[in-house]
Amino acid sequence: MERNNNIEQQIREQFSAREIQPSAAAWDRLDAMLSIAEEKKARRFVLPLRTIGIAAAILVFVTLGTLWYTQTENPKGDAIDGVATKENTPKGNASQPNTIQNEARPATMPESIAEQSNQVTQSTNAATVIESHKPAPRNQNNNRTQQKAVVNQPKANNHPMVNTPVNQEGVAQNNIDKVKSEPSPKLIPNTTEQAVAQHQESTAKVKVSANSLLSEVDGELELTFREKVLKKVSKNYKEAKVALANRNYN
Amino acid sequence: MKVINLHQQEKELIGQALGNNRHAQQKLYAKFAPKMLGVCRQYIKDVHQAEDIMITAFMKVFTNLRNFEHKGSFEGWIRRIMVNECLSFMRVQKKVKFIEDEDYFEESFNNIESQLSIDDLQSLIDDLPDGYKMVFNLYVIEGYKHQEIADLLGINEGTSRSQLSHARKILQDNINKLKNYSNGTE
Repeated sequence: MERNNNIEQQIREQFSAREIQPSAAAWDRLDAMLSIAEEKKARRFVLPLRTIGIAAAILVFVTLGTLWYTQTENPKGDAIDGVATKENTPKGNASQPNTIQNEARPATMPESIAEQSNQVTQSTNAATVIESHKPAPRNQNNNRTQQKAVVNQPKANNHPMVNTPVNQEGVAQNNIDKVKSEPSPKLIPNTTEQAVAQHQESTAKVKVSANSLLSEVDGELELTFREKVLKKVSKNYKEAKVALANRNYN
Repeated sequence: MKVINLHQQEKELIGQALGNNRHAQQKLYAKFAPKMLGVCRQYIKDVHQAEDIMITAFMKVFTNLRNFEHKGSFEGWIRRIMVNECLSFMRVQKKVKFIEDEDYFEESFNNIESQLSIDDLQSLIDDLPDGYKMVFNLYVIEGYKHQEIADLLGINEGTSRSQLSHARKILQDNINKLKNYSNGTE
């Protein structure tokens, strides 16, 4: 291709050297654009700091919230256990009304007190002697037979067979009388409480165990999940911190 | 000595402009802006639009100043940025497309007296279709080879040659018309 063409040569020379004065506002526009570009560059370095700070604040709030949530959950767990125990007591009543009713009404049920006292007396030798004298009423209610035994005891005191265990009987009578006259809520309820507690424990073991197990499992799961989340959050925060430190160093 | 001093001054200004020294940047702008506006005007008919593109190109000059390796002339480096900015504007904004036409013919201007002013020549070039104008400017004024033009515009070398021959033919016809008109009026 020939480049020494006159027209093309003229065009090349004239156009390569041509100057056109730009307007006065052209530099102002360029100055503004340069300023904006410099500000953007400065913001690029600042923004990560801000974002990291905001992220750190959010992490702190999240951790505080999870800690507060765990603390508030513990009373709830206790309440649940309490409810479970309370719930079990009526169920325990359904299964064994005699003993629990005794606990509920220690003063108003002389028959039950007598029964309980009879439990005490049975542990002693006097009860066996009384029973030997009155075999027939045993087939009936224990309360009535033992009451009769108590009533008949003064008569039997004169009997020679009965003399020796009379003192024990007397002691038992005294005990029974005392129990009758003053159904002490201390002794009997203790036994009843023990019995009730045993029943409750047995029932609680049977009935509360499932719920307690579930709650324990849930608690364990939640704890592990929370722990995981907290660990992840703290790890990410540390990584971000290290990255920022490296960037600043660079 | 003066040339060396000028070169040294230019190097100092470039160093200061790298540090976002606005005064140094303004001095460099004032030195090269008139010529660069002329470059943009070759490709874009509207002077105001050409000025906008010149400003955009200067933004790229100052933001990419660290890429200048001081191997060639600073003016040549700025000029290449101006040309690329004009080409991208014409391809994106004006959506110039090239018809793949490899049927070209060797065309040269008649050996006529160069009585045409630069404004006349500019008006003749402005009348060319955008594709022809781009290839003509790159080949005749900027001095690119056809392979380089093909790489810049994303066309075949044959298409570049074809576009140039068509541009020359149209310019020749227009120059002849002007000459006949001027001879007729005289």
